[in-house]
Amino acid sequence: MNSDTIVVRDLVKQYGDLVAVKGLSFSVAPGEVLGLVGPNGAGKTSTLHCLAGIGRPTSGAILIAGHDLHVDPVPAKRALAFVPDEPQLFEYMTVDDHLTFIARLYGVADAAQRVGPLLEELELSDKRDSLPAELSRGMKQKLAIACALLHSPSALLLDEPLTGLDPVGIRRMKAAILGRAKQGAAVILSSHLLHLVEELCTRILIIQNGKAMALGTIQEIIAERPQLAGGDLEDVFLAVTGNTDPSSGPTA
Amino acid sequence: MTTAAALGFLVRRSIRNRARMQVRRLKNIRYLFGLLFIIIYFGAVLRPDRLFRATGAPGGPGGALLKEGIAIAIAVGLLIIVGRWWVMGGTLATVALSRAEAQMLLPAPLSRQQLLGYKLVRAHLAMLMSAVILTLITSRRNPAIPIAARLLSYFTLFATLQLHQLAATLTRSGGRPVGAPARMREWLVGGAAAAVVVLTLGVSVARVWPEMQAATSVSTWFGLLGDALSSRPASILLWPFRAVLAPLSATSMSEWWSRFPIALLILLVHYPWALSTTAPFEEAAVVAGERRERVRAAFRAGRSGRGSALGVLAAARAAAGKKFKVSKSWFRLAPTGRPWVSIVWKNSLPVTRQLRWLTLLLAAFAFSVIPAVVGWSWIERGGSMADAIGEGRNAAAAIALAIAAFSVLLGPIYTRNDFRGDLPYLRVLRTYPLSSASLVGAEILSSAAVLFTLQLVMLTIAWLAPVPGNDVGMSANIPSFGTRTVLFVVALVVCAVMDLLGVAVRNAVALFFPGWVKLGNDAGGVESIGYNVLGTFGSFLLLALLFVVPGGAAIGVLWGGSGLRSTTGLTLGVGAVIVFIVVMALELALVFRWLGGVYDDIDAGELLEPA
Repeated sequence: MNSDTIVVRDLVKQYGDLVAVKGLSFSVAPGEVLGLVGPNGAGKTSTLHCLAGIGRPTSGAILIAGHDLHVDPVPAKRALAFVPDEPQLFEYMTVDDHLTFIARLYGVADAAQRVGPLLEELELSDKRDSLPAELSRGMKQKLAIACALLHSPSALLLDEPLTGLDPVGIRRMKAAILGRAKQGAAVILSSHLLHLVEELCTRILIIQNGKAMALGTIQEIIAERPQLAGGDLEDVFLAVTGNTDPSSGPTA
Repeated sequence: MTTAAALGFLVRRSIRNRARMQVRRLKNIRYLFGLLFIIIYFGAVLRPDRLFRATGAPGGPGGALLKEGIAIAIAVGLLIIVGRWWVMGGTLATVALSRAEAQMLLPAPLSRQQLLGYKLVRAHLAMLMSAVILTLITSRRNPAIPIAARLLSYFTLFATLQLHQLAATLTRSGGRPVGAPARMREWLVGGAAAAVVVLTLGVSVARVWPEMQAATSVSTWFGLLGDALSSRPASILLWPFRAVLAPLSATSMSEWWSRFPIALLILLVHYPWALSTTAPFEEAAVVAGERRERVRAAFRAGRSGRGSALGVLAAARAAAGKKFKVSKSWFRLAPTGRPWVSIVWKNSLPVTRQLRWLTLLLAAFAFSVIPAVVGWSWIERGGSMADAIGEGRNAAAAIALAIAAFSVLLGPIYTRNDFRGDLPYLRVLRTYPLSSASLVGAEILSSAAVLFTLQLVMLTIAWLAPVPGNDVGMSANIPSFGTRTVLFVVALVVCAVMDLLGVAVRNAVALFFPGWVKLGNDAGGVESIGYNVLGTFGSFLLLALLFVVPGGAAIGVLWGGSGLRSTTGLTLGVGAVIVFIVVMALELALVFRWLGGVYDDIDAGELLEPA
């Protein structure tokens, strides 16, 4: 039996005539941070939505902590958390209410002990009684992250998690992601910020047109393409997705 | 292209593109069906022959749009509203700038007057739509006045008020930025305006006050008040308000023609007044625009069913640098237990948080007014105090019963703290570790519980308040306490079942046709009205169908049991009710399961992330 926390096999997602994800297969082990990168419209969000149980795959299988997400969704979802790119918060619930709600939903018995340090970690301690309308964009993002981290998920899916955060928030968020990975969570991080992906991720999955173009550590991907030796993730991304470096000017 | 031409282009293109968008939407058969329905519905009203020609005799059926007494009351109401604008300042809703307008028009080489003129044209177009809708709604009244004349009357009234608020707000600022903290001079001017209003009305009312105190009936009292407000000096103060309302109280076209030019003149003098402003209003207009956007977004997202008003209020206070105080939830949610309870808890928050003690007190006051009037009228007719109290209590019971009945029939339409409020959050809901059936059940229970709580209170009043006995008035028809107790229990069961079914049907419609409930950001348009009417018909039909099996089972018990000698009527009745409840519970469990499947089949990607 596969010991990886997240296992994706031949995932296909189709919207009408558009095939957004075409037979994607990969897995993420406990403690691993997988960077999901690709150009706009590559199928990243569709993939994450299928992994989070938001969209139903057209075909293929997704296993979260050993549970098939679509055959046995409740235990699978209990093990995962998803932070969307645009935080969706309930307008009439305060910061505290959101965490109380999530605690009951996921059965976090020691929620009272966890909430304080979590809010401290995300700099939301003085906003406990605030409604989302009173929070800035960055604070809303932090609240969405707090909701995702409260139940200590073993699979953590992050879609552009740093959007709207200030430099201190970004630093804290990076530490939080790495901290959860060290505690054994399998993390998937989707972002266009390639330096962030390079800094945090242990492996990279580059997708384009719904297909996996490269999967592995940066070193492994570069090793398959000797012409990229000495390059960084940006060079790898541009080469793998077939785009020329805009800074190099028009080619003859 | 001149500046005016560029602004005109913006207005024309916005209208044209909006119309195109709505026409494109008609490719969807549901929207087309809705539009056809509404055309047929309003077809009779908008008959061409009624547009410019009177179709009834002067003073015929229906009479004037505004009766004389009501016109005076509205004039006083308008005086208070206008007085408030002068004393405390009005809003800049008329010239509120959208984000796009703020970004494109404020840096553009436009004068303040050009910007105001542009916003006034747009505001007037919106006001014209309001006037059209009100004309349609009141179309059956006063056929002696053609539809076009009524439309002009409404538009003139609304546009005058719109302009007056704008001009008063700008004038009050006196060249300073609008919205800046008021100076002493403004408070003095405002105080003087308030004093003039109070003194003027006070002098007129004081003259007839002794007669009003001695009045023996409510109608006499109001008649004296009307006479006082129609005499000097109150009549002078109220004249402009009565003049703009006058075309609406015309009973014939000749009367309308004698009144309308004055109303129009009052409107026209407002334009140079408003457009001659020197007050910097732009910043306040941007803030007003932001607020309007939030209100619209909240309205579209939840149709006020999920506490959007709370969010808007909080955002407005946050923008003003003030803290919004949120009440605690009414029951504590333990961190462990059945997870679906958290959904019910979450959905209860907008209901409890938007319920203010003041609202409850006002409702209780309103609720007690009619019983008090009934009791008073009983004393006026020579009844005893005990009879008056009894009749008042019976009236309270009758009102409570009526509210309970209305909430059963219409409650599921208007109580929307269920999937109808939560569907926009589908992306988050889908990640929750809940089975689809339990999520559906929790969502339906959320609205049903709110309705049932209201009905429980109302039915308890209807059970305990009545005073039977005297063979006079309402008390002659009041059943005994024992009978009322049985009826109370039966009514509770019926209410619970009806609430669950009614809300389930509404949620089923929401899940099957998300577009019928939340039409998306481009919602609106006349076809959506037809839509809602059709949705209501469909819901009542489905509700009737859901009663077939449990009702049939209960009838079967009654029919089968009637042949047995040993069974009494009471036993049979209780047995039929139990069978009905059990079959209904099974049916509901199946409905939840089935709707869970429907919920699973909604493609969140297609629903929430349009291109």
